Amino acid sequence: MTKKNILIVEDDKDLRESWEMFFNNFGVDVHTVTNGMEAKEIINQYPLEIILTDIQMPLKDGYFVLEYAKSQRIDTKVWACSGQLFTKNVPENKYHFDKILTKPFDMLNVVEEIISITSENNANKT
Amino acid sequence: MKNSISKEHLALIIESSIDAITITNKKGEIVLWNDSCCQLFGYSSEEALGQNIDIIIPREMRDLHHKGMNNFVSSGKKKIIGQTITLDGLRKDGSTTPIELSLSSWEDDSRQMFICGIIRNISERKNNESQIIDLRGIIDSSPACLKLINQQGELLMMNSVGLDLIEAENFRMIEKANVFEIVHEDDRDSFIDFNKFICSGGKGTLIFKVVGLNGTERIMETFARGHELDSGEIAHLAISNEITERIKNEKELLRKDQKLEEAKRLTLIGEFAAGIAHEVNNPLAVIHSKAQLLELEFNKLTKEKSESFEKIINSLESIKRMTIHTSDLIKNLKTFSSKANFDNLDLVKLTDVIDMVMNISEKRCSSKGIKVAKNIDPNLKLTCSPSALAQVILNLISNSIDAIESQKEKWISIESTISNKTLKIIVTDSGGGIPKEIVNKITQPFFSTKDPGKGTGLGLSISLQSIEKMNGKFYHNSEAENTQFVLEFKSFEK
Repeated sequence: MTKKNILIVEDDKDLRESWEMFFNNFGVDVHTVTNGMEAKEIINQYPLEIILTDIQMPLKDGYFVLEYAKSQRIDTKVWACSGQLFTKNVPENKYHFDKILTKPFDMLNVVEEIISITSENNANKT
Repeated sequence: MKNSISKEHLALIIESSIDAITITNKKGEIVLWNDSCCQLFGYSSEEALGQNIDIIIPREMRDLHHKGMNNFVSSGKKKIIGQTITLDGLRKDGSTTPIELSLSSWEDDSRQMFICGIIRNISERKNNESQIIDLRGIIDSSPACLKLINQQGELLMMNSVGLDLIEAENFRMIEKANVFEIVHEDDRDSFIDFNKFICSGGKGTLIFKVVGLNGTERIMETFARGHELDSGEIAHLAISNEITERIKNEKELLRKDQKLEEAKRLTLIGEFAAGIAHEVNNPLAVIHSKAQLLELEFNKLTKEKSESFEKIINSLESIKRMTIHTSDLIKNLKTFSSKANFDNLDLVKLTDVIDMVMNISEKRCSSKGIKVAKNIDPNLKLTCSPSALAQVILNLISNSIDAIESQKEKWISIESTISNKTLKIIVTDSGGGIPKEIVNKITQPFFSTKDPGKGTGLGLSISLQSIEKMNGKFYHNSEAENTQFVLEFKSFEK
């Protein structure tokens, strides 16, 4: 199993599990956390290529994840996975989501797309 | 003669008569003036005796009186002697009073002629008569229809307002006509029952429709009670008012109320959908992803595709499809919320929008053998939300495909026309139009003629909302030979 610098931020246990299983299916291991506060830790530790984040979460939400990740490493792609309809980038904000997905979406497609755009990384290298 | 009445007695009778009695000679000088004369004309007998009878004849009548007198005296022809005539009498105070006069004349032994007038004060009777005339005036000038109908429904009386309402020129035209025949057939039975009830002494109100002699339909509200005729028969006496306008206004108001109520309800649904979207979409995402994972795992487990494997995959497919369907439903419902408005409308080329639609639907059409013809002015630009407009047209095409796919003749046409500063986008298919019974319902939310699970019943209602929010109009053209929907916009460029 290759560990990729991919982070999933999702407070729903079932969805988190789904993400992991899809990535594992392609032989890819990913980081998963349940909220923005925990995401901050991972962002500090790893040079993340892409973050998939829920919007509504306890403690710190998806907009916090976006803000913090981009401020640490502008190259990190941040995708929103929103349960709310018509989630939009806030034009006044400094950073914008690279993509906004509205739940439910075709997770298989998303996972395939992410694997194709990320490079293989040694997880231990920071 | 023994039995003859004495002069004294006669004088007494004359004095006590209720009628005024006066006697003149042929010159017209008053020789007798009884008590009732005094009361009627205001002259005492002292004042009247010896005066010419002219004192009680109104000035304008005097010439006529003199002529008549001279004629009578010279020729002996009695024009008015012996009959009763009605005329005005002049009082001492100058006022006149209606009187009834009967005259008689005789000659005494010395061949002197006398004329006796017996005068009755008929002012009271006249008054009553004029009241009757006034009543008739009132009846005729009443703004309501007044009518009298007998048990058989024959018209006995109707005022001019009533005649106007039933478009009759005069009463003679419809006298004794059967009223039941001018009552609209929908209300005829209830009117006949009502007439029976009133003619048996009841009273009440009824709303019914009449059809005038020229065919105009009017809605009437009537207040009726029984009225005893001279014959003892009870007839139906009614005051009726036309309330066509009132009913129309009430209906219009009700329609507006219902529309407003509907709009409120939809807004509520939309806001509710927005509120639960997050709570519903999260579990849907879980269901969708788990079904997908199951597919993946099953694919790994089973090398040869057995029948039960196919069944499992099909079931998982339908689970996935239904989660998308449900989330689409929530998304669509949210369009109804007051917050979902299109504030950033763009000026776009209509052909771009149509091309977007054709890209998506072309395959589906050609696979079903449906010909699509489009005739869109390439220079047309209109102010709209391109994605919402595309969605509306796509929905129409999708409905068309569902409706005509099993027909012999299969075509869909999309065209643009401009007339009266209005841009029309017309979508027609080879179908035979929307049945009359449901045409008013097609834009109601959740109304669908499709099989359960196939349609949400929201497509056209959302289309209507979307187009209205883009300041356009959206409607089904029932006058077209085929099934046709029209989108109208005022804001466009060429």
